[in-house]
Amino acid sequence: MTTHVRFEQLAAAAIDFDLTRAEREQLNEHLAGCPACRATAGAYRRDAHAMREIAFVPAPAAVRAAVLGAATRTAPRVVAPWRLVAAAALLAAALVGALVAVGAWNARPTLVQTVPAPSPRGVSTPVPTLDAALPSPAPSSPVVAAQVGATCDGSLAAIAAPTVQAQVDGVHLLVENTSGQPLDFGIEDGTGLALQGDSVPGASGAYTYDLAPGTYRFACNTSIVPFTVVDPGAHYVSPQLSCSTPGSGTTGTTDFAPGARGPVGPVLDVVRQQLRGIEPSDVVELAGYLPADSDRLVRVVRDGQVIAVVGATADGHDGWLIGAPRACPDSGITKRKGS
Amino acid sequence: MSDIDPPAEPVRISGRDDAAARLTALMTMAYDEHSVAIHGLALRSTRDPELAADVTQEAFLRLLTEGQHGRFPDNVGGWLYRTSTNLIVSRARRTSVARRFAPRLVERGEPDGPATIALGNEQHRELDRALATLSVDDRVALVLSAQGATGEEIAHHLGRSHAATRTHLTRARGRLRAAILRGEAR
Repeated sequence: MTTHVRFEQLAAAAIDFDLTRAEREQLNEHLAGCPACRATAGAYRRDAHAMREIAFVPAPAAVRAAVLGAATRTAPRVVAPWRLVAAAALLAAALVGALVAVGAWNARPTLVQTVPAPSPRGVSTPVPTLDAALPSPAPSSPVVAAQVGATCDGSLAAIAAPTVQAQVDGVHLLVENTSGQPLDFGIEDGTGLALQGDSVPGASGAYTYDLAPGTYRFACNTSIVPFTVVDPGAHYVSPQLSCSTPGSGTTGTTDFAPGARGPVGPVLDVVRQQLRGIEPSDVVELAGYLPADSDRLVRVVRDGQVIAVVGATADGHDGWLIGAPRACPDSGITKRKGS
Repeated sequence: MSDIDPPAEPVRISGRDDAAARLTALMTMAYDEHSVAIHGLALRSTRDPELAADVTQEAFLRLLTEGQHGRFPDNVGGWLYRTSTNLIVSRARRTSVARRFAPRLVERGEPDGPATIALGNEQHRELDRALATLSVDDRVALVLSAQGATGEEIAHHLGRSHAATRTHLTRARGRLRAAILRGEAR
């Protein structure tokens, strides 16, 4: 038995290390007469091969935007005179844009509502989350835009109205690209950590992000402009888990193989059916925003605490494909095997 | 693998041949060349997309800091592997990780990458489940090996002796195999 263990270990070591000549000869001799060890050695090689297939994974675009944005921002640059002229023009345009926005805003009294409109999602279970600590919309905020209107010439960025109102499907961002070439930009949180990143290939690009109410920064090359997301319509339902150390799983949707089918029915019912550990008294409800695409985020609330979040993807045939839930360790919630 | 890669070609910058532009170009080249491997290492080792993105970003920002102080390493790949390995091991061992990314940050809006495509395969899902039962140190060593690092390079990145690394990696392969067999038995 000890002998077999030694040769199995040698077979494993041979994958990464050069064996000594004596070790190699002993191993080959043993494998020639031991089908079990030969099978184990083959399994080690197959495991190593399978590992190679999952070892390389591109990083999210937001990471690239943050790294290269930091590299560009921190590098001292000589600003050409024409850039200063362009910057002045941009700022002037931003000022005009802001004034226009104020006018438009005042002309549309229904956009700002003193009493928040009821959420089309219905009344969700009140859950104490970190969102409560986020800045709430200032009552005296003069301009609240329906979308973030950002302009960047490749060096300098401007935002016409620094406060934007979340929409049903998320936070809308319109980026005007005056650089004359594809333009990379990033959305950072208040500490400068990149959250999103995109590239505007042409003169402008429209984007929708699921940013929670709070303060963010629009970063374009050397320029950073802050903006604030407010949510008077209560469109955003926090998917933040109440526990500080959630188990493994994903907090977003998952990509499935083309043609994959899931159980048919309302998404909340499917989630209840597909997750093990949900109790009858648990509240299962939509979370985040309601994106225009076919993805949904669902949270499970127990005793006022968000204990699990899972992504659901429509399969195009009235069914839903459920990802791996991110759940608090003591919730007992897992995905049913084979579902 | 990075340690045996030839030195990078000199970067030619037309128009702005200054140190700042050179550093930006070096960072772009380093990111494009190594980010897939570094992020793959972080993702497979931590099994946490948010933490993996965080580690990847931190490793490259530290590289930027080195460059700003005139210490841009000759062996960029080796430096990144060593730094990210340290970050992975130290952060993954913390019982509590501050989750600074907004929910759904990593998964939403990203193109189909090898992670999602590969994990669509049942065999790879089993492998991923088996990896979950191993320690972070085991996973780091196995992923480094899977990315093409030799035993010597893995020892260097882990800061261990050749003998200790050989023993560690050998046992890690045994633990991975046992975990896969347990998964198949269920």
